[in-house]
Amino acid sequence: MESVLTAEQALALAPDGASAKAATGLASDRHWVSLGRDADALWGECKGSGAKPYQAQVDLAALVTRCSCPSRKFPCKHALALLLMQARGGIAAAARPGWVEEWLNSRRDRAEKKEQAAAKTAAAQAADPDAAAAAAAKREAARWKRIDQGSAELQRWIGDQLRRGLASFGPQQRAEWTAMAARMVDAQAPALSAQVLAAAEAMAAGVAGAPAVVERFGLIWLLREALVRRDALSPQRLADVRTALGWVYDKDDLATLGESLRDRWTVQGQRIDERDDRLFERRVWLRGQASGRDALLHDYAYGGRGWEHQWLDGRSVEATLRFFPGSVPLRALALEQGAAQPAPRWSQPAVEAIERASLAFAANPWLQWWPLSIADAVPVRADARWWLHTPAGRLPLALGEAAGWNLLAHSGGRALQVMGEWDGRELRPLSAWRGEDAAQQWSLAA
Amino acid sequence: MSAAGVAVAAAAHADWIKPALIGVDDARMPAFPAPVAALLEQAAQAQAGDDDAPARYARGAAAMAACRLAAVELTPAAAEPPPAAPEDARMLGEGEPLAAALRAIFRGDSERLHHEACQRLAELGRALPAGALASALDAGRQRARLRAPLLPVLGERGLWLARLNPDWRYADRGVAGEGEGEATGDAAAESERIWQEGSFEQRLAWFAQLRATDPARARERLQAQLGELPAKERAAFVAEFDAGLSADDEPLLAGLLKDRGRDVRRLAAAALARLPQSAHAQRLHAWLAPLLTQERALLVKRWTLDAPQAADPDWANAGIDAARPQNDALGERAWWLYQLTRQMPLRWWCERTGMDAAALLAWAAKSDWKDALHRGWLERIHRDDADWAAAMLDAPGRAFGNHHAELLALLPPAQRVRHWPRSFQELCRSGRFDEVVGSCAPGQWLPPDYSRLLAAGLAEAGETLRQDWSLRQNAQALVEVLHPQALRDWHAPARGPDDTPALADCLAALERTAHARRVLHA
Repeated sequence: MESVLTAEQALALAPDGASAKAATGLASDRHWVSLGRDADALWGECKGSGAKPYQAQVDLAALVTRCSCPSRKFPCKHALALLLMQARGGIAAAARPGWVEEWLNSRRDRAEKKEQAAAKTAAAQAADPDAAAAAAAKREAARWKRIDQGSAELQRWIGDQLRRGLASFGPQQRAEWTAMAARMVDAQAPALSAQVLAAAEAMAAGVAGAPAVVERFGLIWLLREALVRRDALSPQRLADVRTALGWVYDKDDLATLGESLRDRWTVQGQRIDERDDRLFERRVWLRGQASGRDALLHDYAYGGRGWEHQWLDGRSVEATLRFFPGSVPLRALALEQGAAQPAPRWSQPAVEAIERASLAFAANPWLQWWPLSIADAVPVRADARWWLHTPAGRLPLALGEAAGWNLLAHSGGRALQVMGEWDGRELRPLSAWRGEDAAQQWSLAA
Repeated sequence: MSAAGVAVAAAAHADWIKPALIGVDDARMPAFPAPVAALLEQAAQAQAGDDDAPARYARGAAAMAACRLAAVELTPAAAEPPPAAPEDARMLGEGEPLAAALRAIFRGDSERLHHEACQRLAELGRALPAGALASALDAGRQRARLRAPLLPVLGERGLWLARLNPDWRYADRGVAGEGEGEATGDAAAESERIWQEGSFEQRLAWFAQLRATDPARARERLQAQLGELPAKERAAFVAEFDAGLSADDEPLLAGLLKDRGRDVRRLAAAALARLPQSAHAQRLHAWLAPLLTQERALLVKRWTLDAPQAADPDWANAGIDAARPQNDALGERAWWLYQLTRQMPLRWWCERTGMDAAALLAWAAKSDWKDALHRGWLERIHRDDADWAAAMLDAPGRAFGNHHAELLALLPPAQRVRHWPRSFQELCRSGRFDEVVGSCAPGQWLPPDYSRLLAAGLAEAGETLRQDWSLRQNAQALVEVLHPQALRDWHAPARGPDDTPALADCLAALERTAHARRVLHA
């Protein structure tokens, strides 16, 4: 099986430091009653307190794990330990025991059942399409109404802020802006709420943050004007507006609106952020080998339940993606997917990368990020911050001190390929590599 | 759009932001660049003129923002990036198992492991992998002691990196001597900066280093600043004279015999006493020698000691207080004797009487002045006096029982083992971890056999660790000083299903440390 992870890649799957630590301690065969692997899975029985050992298993294709232990962490330390042992010495091949067979089959069954259920819902809707459509339209109209009211209020408020002048921003304004952000949550426009909060954050740092805030207000204003004229907008533009409001399409919408694309997708880089209260946000950037399309998988994990599927940088997966609609379709859901294989990552000269980014923002000014994969890029420290030096000029990097020095150490001052998220002002590097040499890879998470 | 974007990009930093700062009104409506202005005019007509100044401004801001985004703006490169680091065949590749262990070691903050990693890399003739460099350089910034072992394993990449970060200047300074004139000039300025503005620890480390390479200059620098230093710092600098003490140090030290600080006086006097030709050593001899006399009883020669009968006025200039502190346990004459004794090197007693340390201790035990002698000798003992330390440890009735830890620290490690707890359980009961672990300086290990003994005990100590949380930190420190040979087949105690997260963390940390050290010495 090619999908053998290195020990570091295995530990990168850990939901937190404690699990990674615990797993390293369990990665020794004296803790295990049995161990085995075949082409599709790793499994083992780990001694526990009770009479029955915990049964841990890993589906190697999807890197999905399961364990009979009571841990709420995902993957748990037992599953991680299996991956670690496989990485370090390799687990001996063995015949697949019944309990592993059962699980793998049940995973296959569940995927099938899911599809059947979806088909069933579709069929039900087809049976009484008018009633279903009417109910959906009613819900949709109610939400547009709240958004209309909320965004009108936000527009008036922005007018007031501009009339008053941003220089007077102080603690009182900050409280006021935060309250306005909360109102946007009530108005069911969560992305607007985030915009107002980000603006308050930028102003709190001083007047230097004002140009970015003014631009942000301008773009919200533009959004409001688009919203008023939404009946006249093209479907793609309307989708841009909806996305900019934070109104996410659900799977059923995508079935009709989204474009599907089968390709071999290379994982270019990813970012996992811990939001409050054990909520993790993940953005995985993919690049289609045949289509040349970029794609973003954006998902969340609550309460340490973990991800449905693991993606590792520098691997490629045959998969069908269904894109969310918009002028620049970027975000997607992965439908069915095959096993991961190591694959070279893609990059392009800075001039071309920047041209593509410009076109993307020209098509949709509300785009949050655009992935840049730049060849021939040298990280540089100048004016007390980080830059990416390219033949086309310098891009400012959004990089903390420690991560920046680490990237610099990796580059040694020579050109790398760097992949990151461009937010219109700064590039946040997520991964960097030189050639296909695994020894030359850097990632933000490491 | 992109072309229009380029046209207005130049205006991105222009004055149009200003009205938003002071407040937008009709009088303060900025002129937007022509393509944007035309666009706004169109929009205004569509709105039939019913919008106010903030609305028009906001629309302009939107257009400006959209243009800027659509014309991704690069800062023209002011200069080519600085030269790249030279290739270095010694640098570990990130994929090597040792590289992963080193990254983990430097992500942690164990000073011992940092030292050990550096030493081991030097032995192997390799340099740190790129992924560990930034954290290793930071560790060196925080701990001056780590710098000596760290510098040789930074490799070309590490030195290149250090030169780019002012916080890591110390690494560059370490090799500047071999380099070009400019670097040397920088290093001199940097070292001057440390001496003038550095923290106390940095200054002390700098002084010790200078004293090792250029003692005359070190004395000169200290002499020039003595007047400005608080007593505690003066004392610390005087303590640095212990290493590499020479007759040239006498004038400076002699001047400190009249220092205002009592510790300064005492340390200066003790140092001078170790220079037999110094005026102070000779005065001390002149005071003490007459008190130690030999008398003949029948066929046996016997040494007898008497305490001074009266205070000598010259004592004031020799770091000796004539006035006995009110609550001191010693009587007045014993107080005087004790003060003379604590200055005189122990070797003097042996040479003078022909007795070895054990015999002298036995002799003192029968003397009237036992307390003064014991106390003085104990304070006088020096790292060169391993024979005295051994004798004191073996003294009948554990006469120096409260000081065993300090005394053991003076013995070479192999000799200490005899006095240490004989098993891990006994070590736990006695609580002497600090002594055993502390006997190893960074980069040193316990002797192999003793390590194996403790390692075996620790591997079985799961139950003890479960109950005694304070033991966990000690166990971690212990794993860091066990001899690498003892770790080859060692495993941390097995986990139980009911382990608390803290215990699980501890066991995992033990295993991790052992694993990293095994990889290091593989």
